[in-house]
Amino acid sequence: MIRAETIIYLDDVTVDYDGFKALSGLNFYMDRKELRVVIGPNGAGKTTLLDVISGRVRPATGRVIFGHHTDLTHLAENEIAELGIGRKFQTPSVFVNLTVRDNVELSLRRASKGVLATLLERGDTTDERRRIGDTLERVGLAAKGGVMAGALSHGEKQWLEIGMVMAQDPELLLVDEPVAGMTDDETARTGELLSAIAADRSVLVIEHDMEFVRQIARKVTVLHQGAVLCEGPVEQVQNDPRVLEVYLGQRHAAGGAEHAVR
Amino acid sequence: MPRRELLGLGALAVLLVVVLPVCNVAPPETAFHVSNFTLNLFGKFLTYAILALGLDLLWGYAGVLSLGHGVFFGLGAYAMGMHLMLEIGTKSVYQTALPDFMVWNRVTELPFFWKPFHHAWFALLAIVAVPAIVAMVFGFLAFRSRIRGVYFSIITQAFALCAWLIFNRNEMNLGGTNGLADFKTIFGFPLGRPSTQRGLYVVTALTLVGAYVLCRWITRSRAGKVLVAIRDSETRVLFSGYSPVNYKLFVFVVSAALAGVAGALYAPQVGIITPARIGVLPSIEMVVWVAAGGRGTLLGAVLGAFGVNWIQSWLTTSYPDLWLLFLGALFMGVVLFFPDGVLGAAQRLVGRLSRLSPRARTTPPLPSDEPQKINQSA
Repeated sequence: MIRAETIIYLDDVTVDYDGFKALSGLNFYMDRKELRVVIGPNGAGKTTLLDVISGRVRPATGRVIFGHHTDLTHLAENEIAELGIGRKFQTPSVFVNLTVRDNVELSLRRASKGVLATLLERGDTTDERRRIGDTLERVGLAAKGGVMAGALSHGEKQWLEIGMVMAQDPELLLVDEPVAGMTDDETARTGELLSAIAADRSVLVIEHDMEFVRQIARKVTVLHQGAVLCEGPVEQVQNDPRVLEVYLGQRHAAGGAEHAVR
Repeated sequence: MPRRELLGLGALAVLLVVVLPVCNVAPPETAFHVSNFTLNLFGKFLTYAILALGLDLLWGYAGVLSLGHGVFFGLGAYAMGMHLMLEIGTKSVYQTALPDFMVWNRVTELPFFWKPFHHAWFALLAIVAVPAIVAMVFGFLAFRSRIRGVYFSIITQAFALCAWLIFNRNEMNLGGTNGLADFKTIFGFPLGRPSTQRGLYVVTALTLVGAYVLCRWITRSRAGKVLVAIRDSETRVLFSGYSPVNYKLFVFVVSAALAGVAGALYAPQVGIITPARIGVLPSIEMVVWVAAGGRGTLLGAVLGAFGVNWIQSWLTTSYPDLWLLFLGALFMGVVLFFPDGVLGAAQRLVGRLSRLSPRARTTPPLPSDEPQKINQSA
């Protein structure tokens, strides 16, 4: 199953929350430089999928293989981050009492992020300054480098966090509902940003907004009850009878889900 | 360090280290004379300021509120006190080599853990090492289990209570409720002599300056930014590739060591150390100093420790009944009206005034923000 171009491979992964199987025997893989969107009704296990990959949740069974042979299931979150997996959370999580520039500076990929190394650092090198500048430029915050991150708007915080994850120079980006609460204009710009990032990295996006999914997606995976229901191009998935049933069947239970697939 | 801060620190250092002792030496009839009593009192306040710096580093920057710093202060003070007790030797009331309280307790031989304290070098090492090691073990267990926020504060409070109970027991051979007292000399210098006390004061003032420089160095490094980042979003820090556990442990140990040094300077200047300085209440008072002065500013912690204690010493002599009411009112007032302390309020006032003036400048934003923050990080 593991091919040369596979970046992440989940093999028969089960996550059990006191009897509730958030993921049950999930098999999932993604190629390098792929932009994948994962959709699914509430409780399908979308965020748990990201939790498992990023080390927040340990699966009860199964393997999570990053690259060729690195098993992630026994590593801590920060170790996984250093391996090259970046995660953007659903609600913006930035350092509100630091400047926008410092937020990116702290996120930069470095040889060591230990206490001693950060205590004894002697300022940014020219290369690091360039990388910080490039990142801010890319997420459209170059003019706001000196501003406290707490003073940014909701959309800008989301972009800053995407920038912070990019600064980690990850091979794989995990992005959880990036456009929730954004204006149409902001949503469109976020779509462009993610598509551009996917030119040289793998990006895994969880999203509810089908408009947005159509804008960015090449391949869509539908999760249902902790397993893959179907996978394919967005048009095909949208017309799949099983997908329609899953969403429509949830009409009464979960108010927000049924309009997602339309 | 920015020029302005460097100048301010230099001026304050000269005032504390040089001017005050010189005023103390000056003949009593001169107008600027500082009495031995006042200098000694200031020396005590300065030890509190050293502790407050460490507490501010931990709480104001990393957002970790410890309600058990009295313990680390006490460990340093007892380590110094044990050496001073042994220095008394046969000049004690019972004229035995054992400290007096051991004679009362019918202890015939010096307990094993007292023996190394005969050596000054060991005592000086223990002052830093004992609080640091205790903090490392306690912090490691707590932070590794991801105990944070209010839960961490509560277990530090339980820790303070435990330590208080332990130090109160006579079986510990640490003087029980009476603690350690009646010190005669320190490294051979008689403690009753004003010159010795002046020397201790100068050492304390120099240590405070050193502690400030150390703390400022930490906060200005990238590690300092990581500490602030941990306060803002520990999860983001973790997913950015840093280990928040290591950073919190580091700052917890540094602040415990500073508290230990403060305690060690306190014992010879005040002449007594008892479990009453260790427990829950003194630990909370320490937090009040930092909150009143202004969290996350370092200078605020120093001003808070100095200011609150100065007011306390004035109130307890002039209006002894009012002191506790005042302390309570102070804490509530700070939480309600000055969440970022006196220094923060002053900075905001300056900021507002400068915005009113035609050549408006931007003032650096404060590390602390909305009033709820105290509760959140508590």
